[in-house]
Amino acid sequence: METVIQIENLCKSFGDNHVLNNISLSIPKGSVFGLLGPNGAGKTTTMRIMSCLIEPTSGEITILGKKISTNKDDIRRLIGCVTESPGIYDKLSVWDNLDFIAACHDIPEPKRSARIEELLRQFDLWEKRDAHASSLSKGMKQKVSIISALLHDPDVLFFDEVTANLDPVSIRKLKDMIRNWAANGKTIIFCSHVLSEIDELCNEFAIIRKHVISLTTPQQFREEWSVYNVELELASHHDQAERILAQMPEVLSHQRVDNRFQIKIDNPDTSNQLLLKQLVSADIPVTYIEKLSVSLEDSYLSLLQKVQEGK
Amino acid sequence: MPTHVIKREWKEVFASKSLLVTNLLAPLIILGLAILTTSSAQNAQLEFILNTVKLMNPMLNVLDSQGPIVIGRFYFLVFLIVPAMLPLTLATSSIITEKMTGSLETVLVTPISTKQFLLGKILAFSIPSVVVTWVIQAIFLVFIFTSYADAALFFPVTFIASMVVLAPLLSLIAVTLSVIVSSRVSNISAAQQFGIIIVLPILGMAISQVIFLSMMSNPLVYMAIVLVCSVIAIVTFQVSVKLFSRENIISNWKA
Repeated sequence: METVIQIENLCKSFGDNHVLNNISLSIPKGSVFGLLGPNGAGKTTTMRIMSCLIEPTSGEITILGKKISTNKDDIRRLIGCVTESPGIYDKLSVWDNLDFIAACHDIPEPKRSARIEELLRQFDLWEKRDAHASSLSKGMKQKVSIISALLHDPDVLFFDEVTANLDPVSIRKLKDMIRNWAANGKTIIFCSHVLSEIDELCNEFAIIRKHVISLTTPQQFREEWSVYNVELELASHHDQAERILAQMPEVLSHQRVDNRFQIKIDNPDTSNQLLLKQLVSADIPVTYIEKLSVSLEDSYLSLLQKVQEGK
Repeated sequence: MPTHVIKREWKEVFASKSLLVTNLLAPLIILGLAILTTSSAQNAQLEFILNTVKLMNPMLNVLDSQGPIVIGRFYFLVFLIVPAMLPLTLATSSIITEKMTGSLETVLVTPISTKQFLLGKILAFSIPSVVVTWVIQAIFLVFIFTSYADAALFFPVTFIASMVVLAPLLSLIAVTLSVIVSSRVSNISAAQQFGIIIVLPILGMAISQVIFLSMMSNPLVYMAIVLVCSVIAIVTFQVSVKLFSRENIISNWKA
């Protein structure tokens, strides 16, 4: 698949503060790529470097074949960016805000007005076009900020906490739009602390904490970092079952809670059958065995705990 | 020409009516004061000023009856403070305000160049103040030429033209310095304090030199002053572009 963004050995320091250390990523066309990490991990800095707002200390980023070190103006025409806080002019109307940003992108009239109208209608803000930005709710301001990033129909979108302040209906609508854009070949870099959004939207994501800790898909990540992925309930013979669990190489860890066992098992889809077979052949009465639905959040916390223990 | 930046700045200023009124009040007060002082000047009270002018500029053979016109000429020079002073508050807070509201980031991710962005801001603040200055200069000239028969002697065309050209030059220098200050500080109050500390003394010195030199000199000196101010305006703008570091502005600021 065609690579749209190539990050090679990216480092960034602010004085003695080393924010990014040797980050390398490859992001394919038409993907929704998540950036995750604790506060201060360097997500926003990475976004800002990709958006040509700040310079890397070393390393290179190539976006759609153009190197960021030498082609900033070209890259700015190819990207759209929604930053953490909605940066709009409070004293101007919604229309004037968008008209100004469109003019900064050199979008000529009448194409400019047509594009602004199209997006305002798409985001349910057409009725608010003449309203002063200061009179808008935070969610509406966020929508204006998102529209600003879309005015020039960019191929690559950087979204930093883009759903912040939006109501559930707007979030759902935006998620549908993001899926649509990706299906139409746009590449979206999605930075969020809401793990369910990463889980729902991203084809792949990277967890960074100054460097890349993990690069995976949500499904793989859940399987790899879940604490327990199978729950088993027995009517009796708990000690005997515990011995069987301890001997099975597929069982990576387990804990007993009353008459239940929570188990981390390698490849639960196939290993569950094996476990059940072993227990039944030992005449242990299994009340139920169930594959646990593991949230990305649990897996993420599990990874961060491991990283901290490793430290 | 970054007309979209200029238009946006103007729309923001026009959205604040109180700001407009307070900004227009100062030049009107200066104009009123100039007309009132000139017309009410009594020759007996002007001996010191007339003697000083005679000493400074032997070319001006000042008669006692021409005293009020000399006062008028002095005020005509004082008007040069207006294009420098008027946009100061807005210019010093322009970039820092955008940093704090986050709108600067929205603009800086677009392909707009630093030169376009800064030039737009500088012209947006300079143009109205220059227009206001030209209007009060025009009103004052009408007053002088209709009130005093010898006005042409103290207000030759070269002198008037120089003062008219100096208005935008001094405004551009002041606004550019203010924008530099605004892009280097971390909060609005610091911007305004630094602006007053840095911009006003420099301009005060420049304007006093202009006043001093033009009171004592011939047309060639006026032209030299215009030339020097033009060079300073261009150099100041180039420096502002060099000093405008997107990285520092985005990364190093505190609300």
